[in-house]
Amino acid sequence: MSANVAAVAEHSSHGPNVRAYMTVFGALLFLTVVTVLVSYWHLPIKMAVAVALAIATLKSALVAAVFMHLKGERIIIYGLLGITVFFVLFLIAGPSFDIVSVGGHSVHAPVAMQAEK
Amino acid sequence: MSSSTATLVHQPGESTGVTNAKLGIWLFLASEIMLFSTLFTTYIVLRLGAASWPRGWDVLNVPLGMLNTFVLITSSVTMVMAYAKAHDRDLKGFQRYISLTIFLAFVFLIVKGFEWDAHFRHNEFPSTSIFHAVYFTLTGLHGLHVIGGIIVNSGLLYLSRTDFDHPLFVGRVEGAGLYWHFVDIVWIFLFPALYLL
Repeated sequence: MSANVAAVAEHSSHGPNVRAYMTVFGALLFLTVVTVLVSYWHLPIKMAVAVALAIATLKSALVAAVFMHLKGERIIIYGLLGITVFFVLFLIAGPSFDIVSVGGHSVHAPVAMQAEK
Repeated sequence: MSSSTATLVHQPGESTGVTNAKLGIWLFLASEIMLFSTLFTTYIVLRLGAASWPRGWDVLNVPLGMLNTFVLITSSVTMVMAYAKAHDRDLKGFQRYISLTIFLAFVFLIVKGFEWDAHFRHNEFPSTSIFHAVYFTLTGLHGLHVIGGIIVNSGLLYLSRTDFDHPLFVGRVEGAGLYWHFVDIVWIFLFPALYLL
């Protein structure tokens, strides 16, 4: 029974790598502190968004690659995630073009509406 | 289900190379990615279209948000360690780490509860402003996912007493881990977007 379990676990799951887990743990804590420290600099909003999203993307990539074992995963999982990312980008791009076409005008006026109340 | 049948069920598919359970979890996570991306895009559109938008620093408790980030990251590590122990057939180790993961999830919710309570005491509700509507919606939905993780992980802790040697058990822990790490990734984006920008 236990040999059977071990065999199943071996070919169906990724083997654990505790050293890699701890390295990523340290990196995630460090990057979280960096994210907060960068926000103290009061960068221009576009720069601040770019830096914050870049760090968040790096942290997410570490979690996905090591904790979620995406590093070394099967091609079908990559394909599935590729399709998902494509639609996410499509989802973000559509409204973004709309906002650009509006040209900086407010598409809603929450402050004005609050003031009216 | 007999163990031999369970073993067959847990065999990677010939055409996919992964088990049906893992493929199913990833499909579920793909739908979850779309769900949170939709809300995140809504946040971007509302923010870019707003005449003014408060800085997270001014209206949210950044130290508590940062504390919760550390808590959730640590819980991701304990979750992956629980998987490692299940993989290595160490029942006590598995129970220790999955219990820690559940405990940290409760810590996250308690801290978040203090934050929400402070908002309510200051008469800040989802209807107060667009920012608050976005904040409560995103953190609320994320909190529901944390509760879901607590339920799943508690179920695994309970099942481990009798089913730890079941051929499907390691795969179940791996699936629960994938979900929990996704919840962590969502917070990794929410924290800077809501609290720091």
